[in-house]
Amino acid sequence: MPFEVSNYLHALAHKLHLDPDEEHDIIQELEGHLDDKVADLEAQGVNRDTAMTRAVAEMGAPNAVARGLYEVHSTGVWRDVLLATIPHFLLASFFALHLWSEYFLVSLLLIAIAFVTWRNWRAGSPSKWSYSWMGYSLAAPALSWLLALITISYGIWTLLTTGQLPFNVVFFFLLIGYLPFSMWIMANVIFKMVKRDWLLTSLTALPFPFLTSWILFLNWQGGLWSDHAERMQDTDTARAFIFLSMAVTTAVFLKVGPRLLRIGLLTVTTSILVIVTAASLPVNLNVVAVLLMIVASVTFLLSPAMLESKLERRQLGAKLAVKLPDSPPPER
Amino acid sequence: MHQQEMLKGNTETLLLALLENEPMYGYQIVKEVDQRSSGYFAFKEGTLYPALHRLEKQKLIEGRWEYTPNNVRRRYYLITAKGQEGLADRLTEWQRFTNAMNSIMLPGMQPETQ
Repeated sequence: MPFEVSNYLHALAHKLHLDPDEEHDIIQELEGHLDDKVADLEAQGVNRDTAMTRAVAEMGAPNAVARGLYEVHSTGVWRDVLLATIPHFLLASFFALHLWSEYFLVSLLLIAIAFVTWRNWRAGSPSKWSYSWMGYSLAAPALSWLLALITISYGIWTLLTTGQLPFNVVFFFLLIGYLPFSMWIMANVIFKMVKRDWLLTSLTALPFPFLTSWILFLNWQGGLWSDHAERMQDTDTARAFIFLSMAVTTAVFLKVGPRLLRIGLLTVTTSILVIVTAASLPVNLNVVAVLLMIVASVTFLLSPAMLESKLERRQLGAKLAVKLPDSPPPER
Repeated sequence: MHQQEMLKGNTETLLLALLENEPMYGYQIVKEVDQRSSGYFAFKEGTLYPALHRLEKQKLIEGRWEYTPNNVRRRYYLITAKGQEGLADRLTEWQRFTNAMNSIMLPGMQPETQ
């Protein structure tokens, strides 16, 4: 493939953010079009270099073409919408029915969600609906990581103040070992998702700030096994509303095409839901604290964009290193 | 500039009408539009594929990879039964629209019947 055409198609593929199989078909189709056009222009007497430049120019800017194709291919059908909202609805109903303290049921739910996600992702080409499922599948390692961190901090604090660990030493070291292990699992999945599309990674991460705030709230109220269960259920209605809103956000996200609209949707939803979370807490938070929570949550949610740009720079650096010829030996 | 705007609003109907008679691939469609309109409509080539893929997603057309006799792989598009129904509706609407426009803009002209 001539360099100008391959460069154009590479730039376009890079902006598609679609399933690899879909991207492959689209690029093949456009490559065929450019080849036909170049051959046609050459038959009219145009030289090859000019023909390639014209073919690429008349196709349009790669960003604009990729945007048009992304908007068509990234939107889900109603089946995708329905399936994508199921885990959010399930979580919302668990809070609405005050079932979150039924740990056996919660475990069953998480296992079922993880199983469905694994079935869909193992072929390497996950469906559009499966990203919200992946979000809850990652919740288990992410939240257990957070719990392990809280427990380790508590252990170190007790050791420093009393000279004794509040639990078994082996358990303490197992927890320390668990931190990098769960991080490794999450990092692996997140890198794979970001390579496909950082925005889908953000959609996946949508429940995280709210699940984290819930775990921190529970910890503050005395932990999962606290006997203040009734008091802790005071925030259940607000939390059911939050997960219900996530279902609606996911549905709208999958039905609207433009990326900017999707980014705006995630940002606005997160900001509103942070306010709902803050209002549901049994303490009065001031405006600055709520604003800081909004900034932290939105930054976390959009952080996959920064990760993608870092990965891109690394890939570009590797490519340049391969392409640049070795410098010739200095002449004497 | 003006014809580009008119084309933009009718791209999908135009594509369905072109595919009604025979399956075509992208570049062939561009050439056909250029030829049939004597160069009046110049398709912005990058906008063609999103339009084709949108029609395919709506199941109005169907895309198929095929090999040409000289072994070039091309994606041909053919109209579906749903697409034919959609085209018939759009053409009826188009007829009514042009008749209404003509009766205002060209009052002496007889309205066309189908």
